[in-house]
Amino acid sequence: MGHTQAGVNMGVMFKGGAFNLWETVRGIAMKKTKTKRVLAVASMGGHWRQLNEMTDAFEGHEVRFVSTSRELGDYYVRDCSRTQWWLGFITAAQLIWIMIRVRPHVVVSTGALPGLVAIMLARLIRARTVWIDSIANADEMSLSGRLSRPFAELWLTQWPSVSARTGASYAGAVL
Amino acid sequence: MIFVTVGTQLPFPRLIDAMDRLAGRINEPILAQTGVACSAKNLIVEPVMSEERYRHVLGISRLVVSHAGIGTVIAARDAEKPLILVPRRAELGEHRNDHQIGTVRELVGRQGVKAVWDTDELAELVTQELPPPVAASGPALDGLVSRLRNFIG
Repeated sequence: MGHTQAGVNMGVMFKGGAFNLWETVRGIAMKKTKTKRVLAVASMGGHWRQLNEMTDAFEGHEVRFVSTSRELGDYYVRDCSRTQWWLGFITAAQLIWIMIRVRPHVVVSTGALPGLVAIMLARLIRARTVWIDSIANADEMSLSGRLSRPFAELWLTQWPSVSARTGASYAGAVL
Repeated sequence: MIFVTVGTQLPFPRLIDAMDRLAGRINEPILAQTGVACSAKNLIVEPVMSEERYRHVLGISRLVVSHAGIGTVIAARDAEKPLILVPRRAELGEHRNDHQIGTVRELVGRQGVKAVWDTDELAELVTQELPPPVAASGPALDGLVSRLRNFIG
């Protein structure tokens, strides 16, 4: 997705030739200062669909998607859960490799456990972090969500009542 | 056609069995994504669908009957298909906890979303013409997106 976007931008930039040199220079300068590299992580299923509802927020940035299905996103990571927590080491290794390649400025996740691992690793490379707890958790934050608290700069729930009880921020919801 | 889906992570025999019995009594074909392989007499079973297949099946269905998973709720809304939700219950070993009950409690009453607590109620509901959900995203999504956008900068 990000690749195509960048390709189109370059095409437009150079199409006008010398006439548009100023535009080109400004375009590159703007890219350096304004465009962020965003890594968006979500497990397949509901987490993935929720992340896809909010992609307007990434407009103008270079975004790479990570999921637990090879069918979805730009990068695949192995799924892990609390019952198979040891698989988290494989997921973490894959995420480290992805982060070395993408060098994200911002890491965003809607869960679940692989997303939490991504948020934790993001702090090591000083990326900014956002956790958006799944809207499926109307009564309390998910376990991954609770664990993400110290690592998430922006810690969001999609329910006002959960926000009131936990101190998570509420800004809206996908449904 | 009726599309039954219970996600791809956990089995949900209470719903699958109920729909299998129903499929023997109504004229409409019922296709089910069962998550795990299972034997059904009257249902057409596809344990795990690809994203492409899922979208196709959703597109040609009249009605969706599902566990209370958010993935299905969003997909059904985007496809404007009426949805009947049956929440998984932890006491029956259907999920780790009862969060699906909370999901149903909060979503029931919205247009295009019905909830069923007892699978015996399904027989009457699946033969009805239910109104489809509204596909348009509301101010709640706008709020979330703008908060995210401002954060990213």
